[in-house]
Amino acid sequence: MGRGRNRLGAGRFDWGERVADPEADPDARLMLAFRAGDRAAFETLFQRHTPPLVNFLARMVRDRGRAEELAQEVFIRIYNARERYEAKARFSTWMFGIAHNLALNDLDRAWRKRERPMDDGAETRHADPGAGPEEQVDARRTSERLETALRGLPERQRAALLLRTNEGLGYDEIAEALGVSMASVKSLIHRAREGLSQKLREVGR
Amino acid sequence: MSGCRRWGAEVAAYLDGELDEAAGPSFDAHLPDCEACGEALEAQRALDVDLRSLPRIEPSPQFEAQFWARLARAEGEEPVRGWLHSWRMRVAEVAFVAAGVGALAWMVTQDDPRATQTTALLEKDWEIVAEGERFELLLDEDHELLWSLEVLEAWDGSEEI
Ligand SMILES: [Zn+2]
Repeated sequence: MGRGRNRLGAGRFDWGERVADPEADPDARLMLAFRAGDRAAFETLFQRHTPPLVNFLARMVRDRGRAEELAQEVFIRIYNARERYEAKARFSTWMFGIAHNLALNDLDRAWRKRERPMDDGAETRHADPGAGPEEQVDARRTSERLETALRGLPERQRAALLLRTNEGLGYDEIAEALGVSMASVKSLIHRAREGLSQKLREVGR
Repeated sequence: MSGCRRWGAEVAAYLDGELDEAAGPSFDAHLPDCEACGEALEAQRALDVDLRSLPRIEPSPQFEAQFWARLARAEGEEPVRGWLHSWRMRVAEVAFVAAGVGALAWMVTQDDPRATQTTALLEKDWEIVAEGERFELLLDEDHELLWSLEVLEAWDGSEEI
C-alpha cells in the first residue's frame, strides 16, 4: 500500500517520490538541522510557518481558537518527529498534511458531538480595510459572503482550494498533503470553485 | 452556465497552470471558440481574486508564548517519569554495589589473594558510579554505604540522573 498512515501516525499522508530534491527546500534543511540538534532551526520553522498554518486551519475548522490549538499540535508533532525526520517531501507539504489530518479529525469529533458552533463569524470577522465607508462596507460584504460560502464546501474541496489559492501549493504538493491522486486534486479544486460560484450566486453576490 | 463537455473539468487546472504540456496548447486553441469555457474561466479567476483578498487570519498575540509553554510541559513530562524510574534504579544499583563492597571487605579481612584485584575492580566501578551519577557514595570504615540526596534535591530536571 503506497498510502497509509503517515509516520506521525496522524492518518492519511502519501510520502510518494514526487519531490525531486527535497533537500533543496530550505525548510527541509532547517528541519534536518533541527534533527541534528539545532533548536534555533525549529524556532525559525515555527515562526515562518505558523501564520499560514493558522490561516489555513481557521478556515478549515471555522474557529480561530481551535485552529491555534491545532496549529500548536502540528508543531508538537513536528518536534516529536525530529529524530525520524527525512526530507522526503517539502516541509510545508508535510506540515499541511499533518494539519489537514488533525482538522478532519477535529471536524469529525465536533460533528459527532454536534458541537460545531460556527456561523457566528467571530473567527473571521474582518479588520478595517482602511477604505472609505462605502467601499469598506462592500469589501466586507464580499468577504463575508465568501467566508459563508467557503464554510458550506465539503471539507476536502475546501482544503484543496485553500491550499492552492491561499497558501500557494502546487497540485502535486496538495496531492501529497491530502493523500490523494493528482487527478483527485484537479477534480476537488474544480468542484470547489464551481460550488463556491454557485453558492455565491444563491446569496446574490 | 451549461458548461463545456470537452474541457469543462479542466478549467481550474488551466487557471492554475497545472494542465499537462500536451493539454495546455489544446485548451488555448479551444478557448476562443467556447463561450462556456470562457465564462467559467473568468468566473473562477474572479473568485480567486476574491479568495486571495480575504483577510489573513493571524495568530493571536499570546499564540507563540502559549506554544513554548505547551512544548515545555510536553518536554517536562518525559524527564519527570525518567527521574522517578532512574531514582529507583539507582537505589537498586547502590544496594548491589553495597553488597559487592561488603563482599570485598570480607575478602580483605580473610586475606584472600583475589582481594587486591577485586578492590581495583570495585574502585573502578565506584568511580563510574560516583562520576556518572553525580551523587556521593560514601564508604566508611564500617563499610556502610551512604549516599547524598542533596544532588537529587538540587537536580534541575535537565537530564536523567
Ligand atoms: Zn469549452
